[in-house]
Amino acid sequence: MIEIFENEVVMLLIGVVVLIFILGNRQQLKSLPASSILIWGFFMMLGSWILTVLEGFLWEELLNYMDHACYAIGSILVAVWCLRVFGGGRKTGKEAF
Amino acid sequence: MQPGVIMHPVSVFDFVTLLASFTALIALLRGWKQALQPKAKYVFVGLLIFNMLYGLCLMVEWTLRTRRFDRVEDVIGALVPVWWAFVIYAFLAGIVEEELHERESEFVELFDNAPIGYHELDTQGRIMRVNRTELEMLGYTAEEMLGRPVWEFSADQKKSHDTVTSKLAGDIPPGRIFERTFRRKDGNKLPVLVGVRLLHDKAGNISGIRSTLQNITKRKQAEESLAEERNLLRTLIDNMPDNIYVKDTERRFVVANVAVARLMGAGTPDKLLGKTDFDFYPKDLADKYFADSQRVIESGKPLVSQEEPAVDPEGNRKWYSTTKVPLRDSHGKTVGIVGISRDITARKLVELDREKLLQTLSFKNKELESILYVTSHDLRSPLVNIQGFSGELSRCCELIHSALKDKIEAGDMSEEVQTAFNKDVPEALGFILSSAKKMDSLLSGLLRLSRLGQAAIDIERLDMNAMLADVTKNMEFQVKEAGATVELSKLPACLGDSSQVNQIFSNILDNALKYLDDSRPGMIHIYGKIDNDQSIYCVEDNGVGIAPEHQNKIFEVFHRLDPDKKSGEGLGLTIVRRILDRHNGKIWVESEPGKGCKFFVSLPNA
Repeated sequence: MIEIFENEVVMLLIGVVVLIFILGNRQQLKSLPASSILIWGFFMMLGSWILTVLEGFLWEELLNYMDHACYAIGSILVAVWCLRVFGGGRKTGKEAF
Repeated sequence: MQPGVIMHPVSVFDFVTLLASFTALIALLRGWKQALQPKAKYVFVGLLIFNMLYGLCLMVEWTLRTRRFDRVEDVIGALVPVWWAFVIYAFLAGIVEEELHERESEFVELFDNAPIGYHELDTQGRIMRVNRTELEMLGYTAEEMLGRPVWEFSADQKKSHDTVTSKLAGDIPPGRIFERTFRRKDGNKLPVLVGVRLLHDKAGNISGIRSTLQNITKRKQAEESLAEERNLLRTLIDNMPDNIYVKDTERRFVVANVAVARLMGAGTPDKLLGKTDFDFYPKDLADKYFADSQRVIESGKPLVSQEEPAVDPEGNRKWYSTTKVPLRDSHGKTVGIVGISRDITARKLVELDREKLLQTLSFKNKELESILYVTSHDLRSPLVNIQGFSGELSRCCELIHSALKDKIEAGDMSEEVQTAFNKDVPEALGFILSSAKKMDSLLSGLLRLSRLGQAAIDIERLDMNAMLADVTKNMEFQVKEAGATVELSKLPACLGDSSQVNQIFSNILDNALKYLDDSRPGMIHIYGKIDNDQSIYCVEDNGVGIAPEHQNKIFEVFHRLDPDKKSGEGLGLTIVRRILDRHNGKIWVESEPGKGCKFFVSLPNA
């Protein structure tokens, strides 16, 4: 049975818009310290939103697990980024913007 | 969904989400001052809180199996990607702001540390902005300069005030670059190069002046030093009696001193500049100078001490010794010539006079030699007659004497006639014959001497050991007769005419044998050495020696040391000197009376 929740679709759409925004400004975002970790964190969350929508169509239970797992991984990557950026010593230059 | 108290496996992931977000939030709050723009950090805190709440909602939902928080979860879940958008935007804004900040810092750095001073004036001429370089240049602090009229820092305040106010009033256009002297705080003056640009507001009105200041103290010092050196050089050049000039590649004068101007009748050196020799000299002379200069420019090689004719403004013929050297630029390219010429007219006239005198002397010498030759040759004919007829007369006298023998013995002839026949006539004939013989000997010597000047010489390398051995062998009889010994050392070779050099040593050896001391055995030693490009030979004897007053006279014609006791014509050493003159050689003597002589002969080394 196909089950689509509007809020999940909205999350996905906003996520895609943010993705486009990120891809359009990827050069500038590279100047962020450890930017790849943060970006991958976002990608994992976006993956989670995609899986949330997909679980309404097929393999509900499996994709649900994967959805939550992806979100958790995304959150971990964001935490790692925070620890890298704010947990170390004082940064200088662009590294410390 | 059924309510339950046992944690669903999915909840584990949600718990991880919650925990990770919480950890991130704590890390961010703890390191709040570490990095990121404040605005971006606030937005990021929002994202972490929403993420944490979302994780909490999910965990509650899956743990309690309830949909009681669905609305909250939906709202927070939707806010998460929205907040991601805010985060990305905030980061980008922060990056842009940071870049702007960096640019501004770079600009301030550039402004303050620019190699030139910089200030801006308002419409009243007050300094509104000044960079660090200018402050250091003038020795003031920013507080001491800002707000004060710029002319207060100028060495000539009135001029600066008038200029600045006129420029601000638009009365005079801003001079692009000009020199000005500023007054430093310590009182010293500072020469600067000022660049000025007017500032305008949006309405197009003058709103101030922007100026750059470049310290030109070193340049000024260099200019002054250069001016002093130029002045020194100019003074030297102008006061030199020699003609000094510089021409470009078109042979136009670019530098000339007073002497050149005077020579060419230009009055002052300035009037020569830009002109060529063709403007002052006859064409043939100017063509010659042009060709010489052309040669120097094309070959790049200097022309040293070349003697050149010239004509002064009065038309007098002059002579100059000229040196022309190529003038090169910093790349080594020839850009002209430098010429220095010295008036050698007086010397040249003396040389010409000497030349004429030498020619006359040479002519007279030849004439004299000719007279000598003709005289000595032609006088021999009558002398032969005198000798011949004297002999004939002598024989006739003997015949007459035999014919009249009986009468003489009978006493038929007077005593006077007898005396005339027996004594006076033979004695007179004897005097005539001995005088004629003497005269013949003298004439022969003179003839040999005159022939020396006319004989061709054949210069060749001479083995002097062989030659002196030959000379001593030829004189062996005289050596034995004199009871002398001749010692011959190893001799260096020389260049000369074989027969004439043989004559030299024959004459010297003959003299040595002739003037040996009878009180001791004669010893003659011949040796030699090389001195630079000359071979020097010495004939040393232990004879009677020569008194100092005679040492210079022995080479003169017919000079003899002891004419009564020694035979000879007094021409031997004269001939030796004559031969050596023709060989570019020399002869000199060292002697001590009673001890002997040393005759030195020098000839070109082979």
